[in-house]
Amino acid sequence: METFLNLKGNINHSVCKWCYEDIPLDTLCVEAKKMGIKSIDLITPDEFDIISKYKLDCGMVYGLPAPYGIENCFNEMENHKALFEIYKELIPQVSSAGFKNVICFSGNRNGLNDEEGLENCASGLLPIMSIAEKYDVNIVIELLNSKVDHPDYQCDHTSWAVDLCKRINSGNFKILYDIYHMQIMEGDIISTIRTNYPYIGHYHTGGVPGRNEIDHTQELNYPAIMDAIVKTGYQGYVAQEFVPKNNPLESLKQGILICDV
Amino acid sequence: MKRRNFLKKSILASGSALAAASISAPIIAKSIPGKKFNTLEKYNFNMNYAPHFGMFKELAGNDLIDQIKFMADVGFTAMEDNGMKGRSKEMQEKIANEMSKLNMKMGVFVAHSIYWKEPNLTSGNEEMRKEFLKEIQESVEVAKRVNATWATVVPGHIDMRLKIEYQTANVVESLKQASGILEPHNIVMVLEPLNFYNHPGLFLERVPQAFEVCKAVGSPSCKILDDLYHQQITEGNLIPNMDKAWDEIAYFQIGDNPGRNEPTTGEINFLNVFKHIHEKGFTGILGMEHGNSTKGKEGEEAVIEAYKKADSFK
Repeated sequence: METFLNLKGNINHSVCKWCYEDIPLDTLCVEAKKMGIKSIDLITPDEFDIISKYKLDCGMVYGLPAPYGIENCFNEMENHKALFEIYKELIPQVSSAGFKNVICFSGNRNGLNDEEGLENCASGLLPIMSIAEKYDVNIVIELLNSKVDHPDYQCDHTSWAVDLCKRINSGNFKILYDIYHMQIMEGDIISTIRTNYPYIGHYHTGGVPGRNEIDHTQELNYPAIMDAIVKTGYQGYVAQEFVPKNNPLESLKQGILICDV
Repeated sequence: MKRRNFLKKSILASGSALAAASISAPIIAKSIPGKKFNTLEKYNFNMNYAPHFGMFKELAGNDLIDQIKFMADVGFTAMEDNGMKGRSKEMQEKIANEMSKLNMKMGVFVAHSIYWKEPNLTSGNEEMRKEFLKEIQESVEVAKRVNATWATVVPGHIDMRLKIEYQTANVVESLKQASGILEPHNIVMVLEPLNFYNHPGLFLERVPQAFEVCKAVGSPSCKILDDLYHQQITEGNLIPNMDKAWDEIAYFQIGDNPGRNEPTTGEINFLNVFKHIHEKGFTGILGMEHGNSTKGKEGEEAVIEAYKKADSFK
């Protein structure tokens, strides 16, 4: 394998497919491999073969068919039966493909308070966790901002997601800590990571404001954040999830180098 | 002695050392024996970053006037001193004279006694309000003496016995009366929201809240001090938040998070934050209200280098 970037090996790099929608997945895989990226994020089961063909990992699987997704998910009791069926089928597929993480969401609040949302999510997720544990696959809930991109999304604060982890109390239930979203909602990134890292199973990046390149054009110092992540002993992936303004693959390479501490 | 002469003399005095030295070699300043710093050329910062006393005491010595000269030699165009009000009149005058000679701007000092543990302004208590206004009046004299435009106000602890709306109204009333004292002198009190982690229980915590208070007071003498360290802990989203509150923000303070040290030591990309503030047309002061991440002379040099780096946006 040809690796053009001289990576240090402390951070396992991944990249989110949706940020490169003009690039065919095959091409993205080839280019990612050249950069030393080990995984492609947010891949659906119908694309597993492509990922595997390039001996790439999928750091985070997405497997929710419409109408389920970010806005409509586990905090709605009516969804639980259908979601159980979806994850029951998905988890073994993920496991047999050799992948480890599947994403899930809270859904929008739609008037639910924090406590109701937690209770609903926990009751929907608990039956799924026994399957996840059996296959040793992680169910990972994503933190998103509700100020800019996802108004009314419920899982928009770290403390809420940590509460949910405590209620579910399974080593296979984790948080996707999205640095971009949490800088918008909370700030205090490094302290939050240091306090809550046992619950965090995955990281996403993005520049604030704008969700573009994570370079000098935005307000976060990503190398310092990556240092803090490495110091927690994190073994999972950090996936680039910014929307490139410039040449997409050049920007991706730049993002990888910024995060390669 | 003019700043340029101070620097020139320093260079002359260290002629022999300089001759043998490489480009980055330290120079020895004559009037502060044994103190060295790496800045041969005064750096031309794009904005008015304001160091504190003590920040460069290893390089410049304990004498406050030497420290001011040193700051000017490095290229800093402002200085802030929280404790200015507690200094003798003579010292205040001496500091102000030196700074005006060096064409340096005076940053904030703390305008009044801060109630960290019990309510004062939030309670609406008349005696507390009178005490605050008396101190604001005293601060006018200090501000005039030291050529300061801005003075820091922290509205104190919350009052557990009152709903927040009443507390806000009480704070606004006190600040309106204080504005009446300040306006004729063109002095501005800047309200500083502090983070709940280091300062639990304080009334003013968030920039939007300070914005609401300033709008309610409605005076050019009542503005926001946006301390980026505190706001990174409390809110994050630094650039969008400052944009929303921009017309009420009069002053910035700096500190990286976590640790509250100089830029480049934490999670904030100050290069871009400074660029943004500069592009907004900000001509005021950015107070360096933080520690040095490393002790000693090396640590002080690192602070200077960090500011050069964070200021290199154009």
